[in-house]
Amino acid sequence: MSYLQVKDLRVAFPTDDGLVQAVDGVSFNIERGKTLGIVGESGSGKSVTSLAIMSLLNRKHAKITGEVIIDGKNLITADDETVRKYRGHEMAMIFQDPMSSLHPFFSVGDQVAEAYKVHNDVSDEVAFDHAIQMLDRVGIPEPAKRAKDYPHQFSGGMRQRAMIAMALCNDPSLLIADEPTTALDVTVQAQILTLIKDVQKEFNSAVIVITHDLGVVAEVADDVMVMYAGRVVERGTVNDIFYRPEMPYTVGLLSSAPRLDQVSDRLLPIEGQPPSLLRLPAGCSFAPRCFAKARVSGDICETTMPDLLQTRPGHDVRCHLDSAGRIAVAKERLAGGN
Amino acid sequence: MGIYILRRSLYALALLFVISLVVFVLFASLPFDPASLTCGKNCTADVIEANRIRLGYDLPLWEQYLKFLQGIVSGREYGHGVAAFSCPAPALGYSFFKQECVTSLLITALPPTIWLALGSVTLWVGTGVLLGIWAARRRGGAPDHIINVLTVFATSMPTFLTGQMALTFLIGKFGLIPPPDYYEPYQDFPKFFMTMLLPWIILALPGLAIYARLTRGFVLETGSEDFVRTARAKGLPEKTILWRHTLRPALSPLTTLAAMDLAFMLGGAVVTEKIFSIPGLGRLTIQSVIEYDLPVIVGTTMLAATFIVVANLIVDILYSVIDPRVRLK
Repeated sequence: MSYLQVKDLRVAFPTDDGLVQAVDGVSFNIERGKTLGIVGESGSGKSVTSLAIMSLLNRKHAKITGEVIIDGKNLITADDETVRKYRGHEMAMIFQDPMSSLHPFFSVGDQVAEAYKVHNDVSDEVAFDHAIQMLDRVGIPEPAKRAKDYPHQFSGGMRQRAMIAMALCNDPSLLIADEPTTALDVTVQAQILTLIKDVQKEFNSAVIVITHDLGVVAEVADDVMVMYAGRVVERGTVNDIFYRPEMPYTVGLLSSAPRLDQVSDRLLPIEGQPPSLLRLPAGCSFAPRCFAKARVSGDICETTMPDLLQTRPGHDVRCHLDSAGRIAVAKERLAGGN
Repeated sequence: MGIYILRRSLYALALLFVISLVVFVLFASLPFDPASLTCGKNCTADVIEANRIRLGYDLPLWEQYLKFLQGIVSGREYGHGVAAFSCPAPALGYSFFKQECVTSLLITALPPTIWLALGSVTLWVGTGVLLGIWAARRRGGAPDHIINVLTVFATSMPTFLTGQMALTFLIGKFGLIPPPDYYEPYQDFPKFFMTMLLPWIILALPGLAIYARLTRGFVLETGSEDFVRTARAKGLPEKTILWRHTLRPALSPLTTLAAMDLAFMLGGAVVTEKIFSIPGLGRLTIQSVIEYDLPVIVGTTMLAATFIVVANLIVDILYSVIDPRVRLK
């Protein structure tokens, strides 16, 4: 049995304008020692999925159904106190902006120590010593001295390292990194990704990396899940997604990212905007922007939501076009042609 | 840090100097002759002139001001020979009406005002903050709405109305609380407490409402910060998230506000002290205004200004202690 199982997760936010279905039937499993990359544009539901796993969504504002099972325990139906003990202990999270995610009024060491102390019955001194060790582990120089500093005295990369130290201080089995490098300088991004990979190896954790950056996914992920408008549209190994993409949306994402190994005159962006979650198209959510729609006979793309179906073992795609057609579209688009 | 405090203190001192100059010039330019105000109906021109010379009102204005400043530093002598009398430093003037040095009048009036201010500011900050937290936690619920209505009610009721109503009904009609009187707390604490209770509450009502609304805003605003989400992601209990992580950033603005409010209240609560017969600075001020007792008005004004300036100084220093981002190396 997989370490983390997510089954038919649905998250909806009731608003004055209607129900926003942010996550619509997402299912996946992840083993310890593996990294899952979740890719998608803003509003695709990738962050909400991670917050739902961590039970960080306000239940007053979000309707959550489905199952999030860690070690056989369903966190969606568990009481608050049970979930609280899992948070930061079994599962931990790294957030996008390390400046706003660290408390400006407490020293970095105190914040890491607090995360350790809440789950371990130790004295303040022991917790602080542990915090210094963790800061050392994530590559902060002079950790004993820097632990007494405040977040505003840290650089962006150092702050994210401190966040990682905080997330890892209880040796969590599941680490969720929500856009961990988006707010950082390019030179620091690679360091942070390497660090995440290293600590994963060391602690044998299951890691979920959420990003809109395909480069990050290629760097760290074993498996990739592409999300669009709250649904999974393609899922496979990192090689499946990068070398054998089939869903036109994935293909579009790849063709709109610059590549160094290919000479192309211009990038091919995906036309249009992601749909409003309040007024989703009746059929496939991607149909209004889809460049492969013409190859599908009839108007099934506009009327029916395709299912997420297996195209090869471990590789699932949500598309009405047949596999041969999808591969042809991908080849054409990624060859740099118009 | 030491240099910072020293610099701020010197700045505060300079500010007080300017204030004293402004206050002095302001009152000296009033269309009253302070000398002729020193005796009643059966006054003769001789007496007035004698008083004028005795109190130094015959001197040019700049010399009067220098004597005023000198009095603050080293005390002041009035008159010569048998009619001479003196006020020890810090001398702020002499009230001919009360036949007393202004400083000793202020010292007598200060304790009741201090008790009134401390009690009501503690009450309104404490209750206001707690109500605000409660309203924020039950946002959109019944407590939120009730507190909202109550705060609008409390801010829009002037003290002279609530005070007079409390006096009429709670004390006059039902006799629930002993009638207004003032007892020193170290002489008869229970009586002191019972007679101060109503003034404390009446004076606290408007401030309480403001603090409740402010705190509610702080808690809701900070509650949506990323670092509060981080605190929750760490698995901290809600209690720690609220009291340690959410309220900590609200500490600096609330402390600033509370210190300024306390300083303002220490200047005397004119209406409340008058209604509840508390012999404090507020009542002294209103009496002096009615009696045109200029030296006393100058004294109370200077004292109130000093409280504000000192509170500002303390807040500035506290700020650098509370907020690590403004901490000085």
